Amino acid sequence: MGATEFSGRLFGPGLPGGGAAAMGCWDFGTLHLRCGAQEFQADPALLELDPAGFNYGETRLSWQDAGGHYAFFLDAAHREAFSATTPPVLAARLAAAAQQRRRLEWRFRLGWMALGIFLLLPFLLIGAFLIEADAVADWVVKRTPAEFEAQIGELTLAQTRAQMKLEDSGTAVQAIRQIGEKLTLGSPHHYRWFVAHSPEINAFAAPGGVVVVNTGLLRATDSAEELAGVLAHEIAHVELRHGLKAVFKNLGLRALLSLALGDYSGTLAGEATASLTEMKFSRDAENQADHAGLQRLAQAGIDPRAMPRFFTKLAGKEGATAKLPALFSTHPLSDERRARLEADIAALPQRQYAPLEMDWGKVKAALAENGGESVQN
Amino acid sequence: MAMDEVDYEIFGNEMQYVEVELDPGEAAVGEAGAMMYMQDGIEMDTVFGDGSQQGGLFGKLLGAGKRLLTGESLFTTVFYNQGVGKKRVAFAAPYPGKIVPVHLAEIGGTLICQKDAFLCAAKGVSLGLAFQKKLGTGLFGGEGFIMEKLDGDGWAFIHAGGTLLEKTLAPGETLRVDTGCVVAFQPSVDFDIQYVGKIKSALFGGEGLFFATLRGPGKVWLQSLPLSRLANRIIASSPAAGGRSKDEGSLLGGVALGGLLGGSDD
Repeated sequence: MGATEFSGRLFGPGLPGGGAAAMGCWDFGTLHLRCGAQEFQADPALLELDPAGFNYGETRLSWQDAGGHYAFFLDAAHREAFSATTPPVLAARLAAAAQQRRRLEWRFRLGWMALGIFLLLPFLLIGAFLIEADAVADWVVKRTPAEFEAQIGELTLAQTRAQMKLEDSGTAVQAIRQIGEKLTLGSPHHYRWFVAHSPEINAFAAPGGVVVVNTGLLRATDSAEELAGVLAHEIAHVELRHGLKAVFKNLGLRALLSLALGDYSGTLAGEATASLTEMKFSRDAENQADHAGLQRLAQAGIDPRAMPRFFTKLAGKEGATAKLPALFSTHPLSDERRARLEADIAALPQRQYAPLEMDWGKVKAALAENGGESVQN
Repeated sequence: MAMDEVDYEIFGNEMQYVEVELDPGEAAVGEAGAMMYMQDGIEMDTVFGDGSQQGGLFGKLLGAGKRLLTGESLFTTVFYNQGVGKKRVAFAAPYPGKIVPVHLAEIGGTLICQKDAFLCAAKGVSLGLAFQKKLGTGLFGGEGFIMEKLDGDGWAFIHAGGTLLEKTLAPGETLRVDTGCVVAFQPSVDFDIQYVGKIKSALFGGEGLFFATLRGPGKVWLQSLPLSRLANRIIASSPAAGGRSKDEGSLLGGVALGGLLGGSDD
């Protein structure tokens, strides 16, 4: 018989419990098995062929006869010799067994893949968020009620009050309000105007319409139009809801990070809003605010050319030698930005702008009287 | 390659060790840290992997990586008898339980066992990784997805907790086993899971949601007390780990004297 023989392990009554090595062959459709001195035969009509054992890794031929229940496990190395001579009756079963084995393997791999994806999910989310953060934050911002934005503004205001003295009345605040109200005509936000006693040349806007201008910045201005330029930029941030967007970006990233890395920091919301006063907006947000601010100035009938002029003046005055004003740490004045501002102004319809009716010298004098330090009004 | 034939003797009742006798030139491999004592003339050599790979560095690295996955050490220790005459080396079980010798040739050359069940073997027995590919069995069968495969035709010694018993299953015979109690089986045995059948039993029967089922033919080895179960009981009754210490009821062991005589750790 030679080539058509196949080896395996036979289990059954009278055989060792762990099975015994056996050689088998097909003889006109009948299975002949030789196990030591014993010989066995199986009628193909009674033969069952199915995958069995650990991971269905074995091919099992089993049959029941007068002697009892027998099972023959084919050696994997002889699978080909076996299938080459298998009677057609069993060939289909053999194919089904291979199919079942493949299906098990496939499901096993799928399971591991699913597990891998599950474990990597936070990192994938972070990656997706970093790529699509703007779109996601925009989406959330659009669905955020104005009251919530006002609450965040309130929170920021409270935190700022703890850090510096804020004035909400006086000559300077009056002047800022007067310009600001021109710029925010028809806005859905409820604006509040404050002067902070700080020598730093800076101004910032919190979500919901809280605008804070430092006395240092007021002193650096030579005209009401220059202040209007800065205000227009900050108001544009509020109107475009940049602050809220930055909060959501920050919050989302922190939430995902804590999902991926576990609890790594204190309360999320507190920290996200705490950084709002020193918030750096993205370069895109700054450009948008510049552009929208210029439009706003033009609509309000205020000369927009004062805005780039003021920035250039500040950068030129202190940039060369000493450190730059704080305003530029959050609003760096690159040549590109200046060029864009000039281009935006050139694109505006040509018209004559009336100067703001305001005695700027008096406003600055009021600042000097206060010494920039007092809050008694 | 031909296996080294070793003679052995198992000592102890519940905390056993096996003493293996090596002829001159013979060798045995042991799980790192399992060696208990060895006689003069036996040389110890630590090899990367399981000492059966003949391949290059890559093959050895692969083998070692697989061992790491199965929870064994990266290294195995090979004990050679370099002396004249028969020498003995002993390997001890790491926790209470039984050591069972398995002659691999008698069961067709391959044994699937739970990870870290391997204690020692004749040199030439290879330790491999056998992934449980049935997801349900891997998740709920109590043995996880990673199992160990011993290949060869010599003696291998496996160890597990409590009493370790060998059962022989006839073709088609099925044994339902508590999950976690399966230690080893022949590859002809079908290892699967079965739902306990009734919600009431699943919730209050104490056996969990599934039984492990072993369907013959072939030999299976079961442990009566998986180490994790023992560890749970110890922790549950250890005051240091938040458990409750129960006094044994004798007068001397009572609170007063027990506290006085040194039970003041908490």
